[in-house]
Amino acid sequence: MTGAHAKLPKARHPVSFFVPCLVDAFHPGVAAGVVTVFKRLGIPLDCPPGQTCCGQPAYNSGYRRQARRAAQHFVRVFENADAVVCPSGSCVQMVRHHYRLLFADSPSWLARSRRLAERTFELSEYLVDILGVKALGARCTLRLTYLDSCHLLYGLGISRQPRQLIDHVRGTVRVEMRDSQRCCGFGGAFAVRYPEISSAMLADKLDNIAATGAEAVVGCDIGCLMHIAGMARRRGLALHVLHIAQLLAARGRGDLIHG
Amino acid sequence: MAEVRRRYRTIGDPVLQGALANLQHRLGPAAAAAYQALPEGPALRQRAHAIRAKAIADLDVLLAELADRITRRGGHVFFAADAAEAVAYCLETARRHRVKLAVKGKSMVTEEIGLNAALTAAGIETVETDLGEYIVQLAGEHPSHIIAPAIHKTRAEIGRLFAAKLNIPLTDDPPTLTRAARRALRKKFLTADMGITGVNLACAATGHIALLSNEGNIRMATTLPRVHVAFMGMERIAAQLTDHDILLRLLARGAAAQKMAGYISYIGGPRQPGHTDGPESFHLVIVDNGRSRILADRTFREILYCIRCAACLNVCPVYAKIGGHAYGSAYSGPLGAVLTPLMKGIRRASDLCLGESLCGACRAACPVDIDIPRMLLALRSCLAEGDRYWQIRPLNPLAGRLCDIWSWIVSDRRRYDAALACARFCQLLLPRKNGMLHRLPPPFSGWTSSRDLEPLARRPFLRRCSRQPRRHREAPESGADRNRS
Amino acid sequence: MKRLKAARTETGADPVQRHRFLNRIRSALNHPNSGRGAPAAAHATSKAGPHHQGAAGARPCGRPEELLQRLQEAAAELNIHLSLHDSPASAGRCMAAMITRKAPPRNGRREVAIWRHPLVARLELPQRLAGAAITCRTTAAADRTYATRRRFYRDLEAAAVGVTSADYCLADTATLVMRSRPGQPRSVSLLPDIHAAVIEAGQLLPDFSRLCRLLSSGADEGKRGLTHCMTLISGPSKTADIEAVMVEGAHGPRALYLYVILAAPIDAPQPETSGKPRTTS
Ligand code: SF4
Repeated sequence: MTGAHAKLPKARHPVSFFVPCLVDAFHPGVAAGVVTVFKRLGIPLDCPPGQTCCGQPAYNSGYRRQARRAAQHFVRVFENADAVVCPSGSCVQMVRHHYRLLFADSPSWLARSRRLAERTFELSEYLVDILGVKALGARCTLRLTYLDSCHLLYGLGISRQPRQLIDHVRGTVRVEMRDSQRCCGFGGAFAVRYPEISSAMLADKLDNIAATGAEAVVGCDIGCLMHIAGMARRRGLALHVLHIAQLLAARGRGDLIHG
Repeated sequence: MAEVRRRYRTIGDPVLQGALANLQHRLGPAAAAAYQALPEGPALRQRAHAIRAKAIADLDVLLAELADRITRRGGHVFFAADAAEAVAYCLETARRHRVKLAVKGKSMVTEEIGLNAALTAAGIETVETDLGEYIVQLAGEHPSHIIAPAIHKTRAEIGRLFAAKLNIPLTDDPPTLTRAARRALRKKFLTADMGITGVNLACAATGHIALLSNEGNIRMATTLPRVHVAFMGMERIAAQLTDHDILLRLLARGAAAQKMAGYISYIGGPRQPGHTDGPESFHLVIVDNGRSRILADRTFREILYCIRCAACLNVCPVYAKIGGHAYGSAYSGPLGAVLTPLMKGIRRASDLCLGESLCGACRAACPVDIDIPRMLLALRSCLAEGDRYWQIRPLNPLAGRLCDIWSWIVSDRRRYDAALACARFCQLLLPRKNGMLHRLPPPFSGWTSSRDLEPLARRPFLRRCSRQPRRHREAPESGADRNRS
Repeated sequence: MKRLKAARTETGADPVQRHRFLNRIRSALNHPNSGRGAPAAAHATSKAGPHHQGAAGARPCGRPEELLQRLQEAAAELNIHLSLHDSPASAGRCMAAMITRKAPPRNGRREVAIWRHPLVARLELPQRLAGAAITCRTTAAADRTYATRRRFYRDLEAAAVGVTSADYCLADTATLVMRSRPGQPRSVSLLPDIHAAVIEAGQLLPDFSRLCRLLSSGADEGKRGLTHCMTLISGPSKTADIEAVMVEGAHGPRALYLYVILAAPIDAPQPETSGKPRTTS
């Protein structure tokens, strides 16, 4: 702990870490970033090892029965937590808004999922709105632009919090891209089933990012970020695609960008 | 599917892409700002939602009241169960009044029931008078946007079209083209026997229909001809005038970021004695055509709250790419993606249910706060699981089986880890380029058509936690761990 | 069969058909499926969208000067030519000058169509325009047949300017509200190239909300109701259907001139009470 965050709250109840399945499988570094952030805050982070997936992939394709099974598992794993924090807007939206529909026919599960939904927060929301911290002692010289993810923006109404967090990372210059609020075309199975539409949407997004002249794009949802990185790599663009947790954990440019 | 796919050609048309992007940039943010500027604030949308919900819950009562009041003023009200009845009534009315020329205001419901074709087949010249609709009709096409029907046409195309059809010198100057259309249509208005319009919103308490336009064509069609036939989807009604206050203000904002539509006509019946203007004979055709089936299903009833403002089209990123024609019905955009499957068959229109990224922009833009993404998800579950009420079987039973297996796997972390290990092994077989997966096998090949995929990490994050004693299940902190297998 | 039945409904008011239609709605509203899915619950919470912060308070209803101020702003936005006058004579002079300047000859003649309306009459347009050889046709309240109606429209087509008044004017949106009355055809505000309207400041209402409340109240105004046709006009006719380029003068007038006479009791406390169109019989 440096003097920079002497004011940070300490010794709170442990927070349970809900690791989105894509982060778990593809980007453990993002989860590690969250761990770092909470360590710096002095808040114990509990990571229930039994967790898998919130059920969103099945739910978004209409498979409610299967999604319900995954959701029940999720509720069982997390229901004793005081607070659940997740570095993904769409997973939180699933728990907060969709579980209610999923369990509409089962009062007991409905009640259990409701209780859990009230205590589940997206990372930037939790840091800014619940803990009231914006400066986390991160630093990184980087010109970057912030990507609004749809479920975060439209589903949870979060757009100010991540920007505030980014602006408190010392050394960063944040530039707004045009149409940041516009979907990048990910949408899970949509990207696979309708590649023509999805790619066209993504191409617009990349153009808008390129127009800012930013070296990096930072977002809160790993799905969107993988989507953007996918086309950026395919096109050989020198764009760094970062999750906000990685940025908030960084203590220098070298932590994020190699070579 | 193939049919819709073929229409994705739009994506490769830079001119059309530009036009749609322009439209959205002009109207999307402007509508949002207009909601913000409402004296009551944007929360008025939720009130409007409640007003619509109440009106739909009282629909039978409101329609009866509307019909009674209009009948008392000497108007005729016809209740049409389906498209055929509505069209037949209009044809019969036209025949009885010896109509040769009908002028039309823009109306989605007449598009839905295929009125123009029927009138033309009966030998009645039917002229669309909304400038956009007129252009589309001259070109022999269909509207591609419910408010801006000719958004898919450039001024140069319109110039060529007018030069050929209206015998005017070739020009691509919008004011000149507009004047040419005005001249041509003015003649039609003055000689037309019948005016045909839709209804934006009826008012039960006063017994009127409200018609909105900016061009004035609807005022013409309801003022000059002998006969006026108005078509209204049965859900387009509000209980009282104070509800109109809220809904029409929101409609103008959602549709065109206007405070108020240029013209609003409240029409409650035919011309009265001593007056000059208005039709001798006024008919209101209230159309069901599948709406009561939607009404009976609580899950989808909400789509009947729609006031057809097109705000959702103006923000939808998918609409911006594929354009209105790809939806294969009068109703395009997010609204069409819900309504068309319910009217034409969920399986038949499965691409409309599945072809959205569910970003939620439509709901945020909707002046009556309709939860379109929720209904798209509900449509998907009808497709996935089948539905008795809508009489459909699952679209892809095999996918359902696979999903069963998936749900079995994810309900236990050990199985899940095993499955991940298996996937990691499989990815070794896939070609890579710069450390990225370059080509995936079906059914995932769509992703790699234009994008690479990062490979699975060597070890899932949670595997690292679980090896630690339970009391400190914190993972090793390591700035940017991007190890790959 | 269906086709035949539909065709036979001479007036459209087939009670059986109507009954069946409304019954279908009734049973749909009571359908067992009506309970499933619980979208109401889904709806209650999610405060959709980022556009949800902050709500401006409702605007005060405003004193006459304030209403005028708001009218001026709205008129400017809509390209309405607004002018304020302290007497009908001044408005009449100004309007006559505008007509002389703007009205192009049609078929070698210059014509203006004007409403039979007390306030319009006080503008004394016929006398003022006589010098410029412009004919004024005042509309008559007559029971017209379709044939005479057509002739009326043909004449109206020849008029370059249509002069009307209005029942109310909504300040916030510069909207003219006209209810149907004999001798005051709505086509006069529609067919000519230019629409000129004259109102008194006392006819100003703050906004559409106030109008709706007024018309649905039990008061005198409310009783008369909307009549069989009420027209609201905000600005000239316009379209943006060709590449979203705004063009004024689509099917209706390409310009709207609005003359507000202030001499009327501007210090009237409540627009509602003073808002009655004193000028109509
Ligand atoms: S769904 Fe909402 S936004 Fe879309 S057309 Fe209907 S009312 Fe307008």
